[in-house]
Amino acid sequence: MESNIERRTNQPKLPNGRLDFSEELDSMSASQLAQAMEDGLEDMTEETYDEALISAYLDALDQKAPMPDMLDTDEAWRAFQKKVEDASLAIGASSPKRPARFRRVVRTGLVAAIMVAVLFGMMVAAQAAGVDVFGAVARWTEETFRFNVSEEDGNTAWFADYQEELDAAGLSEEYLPTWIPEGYEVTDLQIQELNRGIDIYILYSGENGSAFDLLISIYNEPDAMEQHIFEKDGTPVQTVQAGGKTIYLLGNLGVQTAVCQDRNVIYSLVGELSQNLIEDIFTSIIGDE
Amino acid sequence: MKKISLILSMVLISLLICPIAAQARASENIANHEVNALQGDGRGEISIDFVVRATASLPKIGALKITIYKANGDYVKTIWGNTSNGLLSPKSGRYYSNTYTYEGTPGVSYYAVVTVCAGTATDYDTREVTTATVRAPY
Repeated sequence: MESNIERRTNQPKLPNGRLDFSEELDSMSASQLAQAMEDGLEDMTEETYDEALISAYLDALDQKAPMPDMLDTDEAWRAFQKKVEDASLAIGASSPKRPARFRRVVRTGLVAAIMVAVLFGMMVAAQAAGVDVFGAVARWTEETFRFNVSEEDGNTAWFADYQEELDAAGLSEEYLPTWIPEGYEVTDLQIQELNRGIDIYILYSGENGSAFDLLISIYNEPDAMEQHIFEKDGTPVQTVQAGGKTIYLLGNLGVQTAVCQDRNVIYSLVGELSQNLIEDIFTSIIGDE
Repeated sequence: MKKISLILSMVLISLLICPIAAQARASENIANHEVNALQGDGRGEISIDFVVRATASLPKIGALKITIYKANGDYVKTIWGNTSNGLLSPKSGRYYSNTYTYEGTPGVSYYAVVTVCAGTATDYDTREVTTATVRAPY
């Protein structure tokens, strides 16, 4: 196969001895000419060096990309800097935006997490100090509830355990108190169907062994209510108002009884009762107005 | 002097009696109770409801006995309470209630004297209640 040098040297020569392949060289760009000249030089040795061929390439290059007679270093430096700047911008424009956005998301999430942790820390500290922050939050989000009714709202679930018995007796929750005093729990609930109506008995037991109970006596006929007798000693009967009802406070040899009547129902509390407890329980009873 | 001493003694005794009387109306063991007699669902039946509420959890609570009389006062029968017939609670508690059904003669009127109790096996308070007169249904 004819090498590049052999092919070139077989070309017709001009009167000055140079090779005449100007048409071919004219069709090539400066970079192609440079590459072709480099390829030719690689093929040549000391013995086969073809000065005419190289001169032809150089002449063609000079025509395509003439070198300036005098190089201006400052201008060259500026040109180089501009090339570097353009190259940097090209790299920045072509790089993907995802890493920067991801960093922003992570940063925002971290700030939010720190804020939540601080808030929780404050809430726990307040809870330890005796402030019912969580209850306040529940009430706050409820909006329609008042501040001091959180226990009422939070303890309606206590009679969920007895829902079957209540349903079997055809009783609705309206007879039941929704508030349980702190330190107490309902340990017994009995529903007794009698001929005169229904009794609901609720026993509250305290952590320190104290106890009191609530009896809800529902009557089919009002006359039977007269047969419900409460024992009392000689201490004067007191009355208080709570939940829109009149509560009668009776003493019975050291045991307190609180009684009220609402339509066909008699409610009675017996045990170690404070006036606040009495008022709060009767207030929490949801009855017909 | 003798007269003055006598008057003072009477005053002192009167002062002592009053609180005792007041205490006798109260009960250490019974907080409240209720007894009702109504017509039963069946022919000739008289239903007697009783409710006893104690001041504390006590082992003996319920109806100690139920005595049935005809409207004219003729004695019919006495039912003594125990855990088997349901007149007494089978366990300690602060509340016990139940209904006793007497099988009478349709058209005959009856009343009952019910004695409720609350306390221990040997030391308990009682209250006696006489019900209204009820005619046994046909």
